[in-house]
This record gives sequence, structure tokens and C-alpha cells, in this order.
Amino acid sequence: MATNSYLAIFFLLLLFVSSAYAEDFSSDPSKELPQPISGIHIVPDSELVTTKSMKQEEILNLKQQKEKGYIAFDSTYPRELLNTKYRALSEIKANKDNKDPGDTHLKEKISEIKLAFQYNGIPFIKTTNIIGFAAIGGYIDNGWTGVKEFFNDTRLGTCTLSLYNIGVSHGGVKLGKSTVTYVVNSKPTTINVEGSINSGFMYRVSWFDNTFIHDLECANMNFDKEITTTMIDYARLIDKSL
Amino acid sequence: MKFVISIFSVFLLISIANAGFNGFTMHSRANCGNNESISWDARNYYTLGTVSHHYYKGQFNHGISTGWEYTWRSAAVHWFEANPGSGWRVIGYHWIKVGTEQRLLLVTDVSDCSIYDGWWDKR
Repeated sequence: MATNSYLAIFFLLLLFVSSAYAEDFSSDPSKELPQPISGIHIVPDSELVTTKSMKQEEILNLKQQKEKGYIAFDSTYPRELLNTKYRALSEIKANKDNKDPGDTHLKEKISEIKLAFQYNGIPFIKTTNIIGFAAIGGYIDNGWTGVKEFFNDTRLGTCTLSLYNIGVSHGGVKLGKSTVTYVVNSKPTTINVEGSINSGFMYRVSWFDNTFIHDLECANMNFDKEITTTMIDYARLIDKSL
Repeated sequence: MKFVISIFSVFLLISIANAGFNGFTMHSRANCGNNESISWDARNYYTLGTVSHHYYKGQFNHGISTGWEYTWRSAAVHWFEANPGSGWRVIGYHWIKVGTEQRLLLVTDVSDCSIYDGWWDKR
């Protein structure tokens, strides 16, 4: 009898979870997401579909970025990324013999990840500064659609380059006109810094073409505009190497 | 009680297995008990949005959308919709919002239960 009660509670919980997740978008306008796109689209900011509260937050963020040079935001991620070097060796070692192509743990060499496209790593990063590589994106018939390279840099902090191959993933991106520059080899580029003195800062330079979304991100406990400038130089070199 | 714990363990395994350990990963699964499209990163939070379109025997049946949400795991799941081999197809649209930009990172299109778009079929 007791088992039956547990079962009843269990299935009621499942039904609750089920209803929480399964929202038919046709009946709930707040669940609306953009229509599928492919390639790069630079559109007026007003055409980026978001909720009213998100729009207000975006306006505030853009104002902060312009005035202070960064968006004030507390996050655990800068420290998480800065600590990658301390956990990397044990993670790589523990998963050395994992031949599962779907595995997303850190790998020592890029050749240990089955990618759906050609990538050999950032050529100008010294081997001793490379922390590791990880699969990102999705696994399609012939490999992963994305890759993330982790590395240390004395000037920048701990950095990652994430490449999403939107050519093979059938993806796309909508960029708001007011946020786009062309500082990375004349390609649409967006730049963002967010963080706080307490939690550290995340610096991002993203650039786009019809093959890749490229995100160069660096974690540093300090705010320094020179970091972004150096990252743009790196981005130009990386872009030419791909 | 053991039976309940076993079922609950399987449920948890289905729910949390295979998150990207070091970055953002996405997949869809069909005829898997559930029909689902999921995006996740075990180490970071993002503004994510996932749409999952479910087709039954070739015809569009319905869609699920999470809307935009700040989370480490965005899941558009219809629990217990599809028994193994029951003829569903799932197309997932995996969105992420970075600053103001809206990125469709992956479109997944599956008709089986494989976790990464069919890799274990070794097609």
C-alpha cells in the first residue's frame, strides 16, 4: 500500500514537471522565440524580438558599457574559468581512455575531438600555455559542430576561443545594428565586458562570417581597457589563421 | 520502495545525462519516452531559448517553446509522448542570446533516441 502511495506521488510530480516544461508556443506569446534564420543578419535594434523587461535591461546594459566600459554583473564564471588550469590536468588524465566521441571532457590535443570541420588550434599560442580543448555545439553525422580551446595568457588571464560552425549546424545570427563594428578584418564584430571587482570580469570579442561564430573570451579579476585592445589584435590573427 | 528509487534514478539519468562539461552543447531526441530538445552547459548560465517541433508520421503535430530564460539548461521536453519506435520526428531550434544578439547555434533533426543527433547509429 505504501509503495502505491509513493508511486502515486512520483507520477504526480512527473506530471507537474511535464506541464512545467511542455508549453505549446501557439498558446503563450511570452514563449515566443525568433523565426529560424541562416547566415548573418544585421538588423535595426527594434527588430530583435525580446520581452519588455529584457529590452529595458539591454538599454541599461548598453548605457553602462558606454559610460563605465563594462556591464556591472556578479557571476561565478570568471573565477570558474580562471581555475580551469587547476582542474585541467586531472580531468584530462581521468578521461584519457574515453573513446566515446560524444564525450565533452577536456582533451589534451585537438586531434582527440571528432569535429565536423577542419580546425588545428590557434597557431601562435605556445603549447605550454594551452590548457586543453573541448567539444561544444552539437554532434551531427560526422562530428561536433563546435570546439572550445582554453589557454593562459600573461596579459589577458585565462581565455577561450569558441568556434561554432553555423555552416554545418544550419545556424544563423541576428545582430543589432547599433552594437556592430567591423574591427576584426572588416567582419561584423561585437565587443562586451561584464563583471565586478568582487567577482572578476569576462571580456568578449565576437566576430561573424557565414562559416563561423567566433567568441574570444578572457577572464581576469581586474578591469583594464587594454585587455580588450589586445584581444582584438588576437582576434585578427586568429581569423586569418582559420 | 526500491522500485520507486530505481524508476526515479532512471528518470534523473534521462534528465541530466550528457550536459556539456566544458561548454555549450545541444541535442534533440525522438521516440525516447520523451520527445525533447535540450541546450546546456554544466559550468555557466546564459539566456537560452529552445523550440522543439514534433512531427508524427510525417505530419506536424505540435511545438514546444521555452521562451527566453536565464539558465544553464534549457529544455523543451514533452514527457512520455513517444514510445520507442512510435514514429515521431523532432526538429530542435537552439537559441542563445549574447548581449543583444540572437544566435541560432544549431538545428537538430532526429527520429531516434540517440543523444547526439544519431552518433551511435554510426551512419
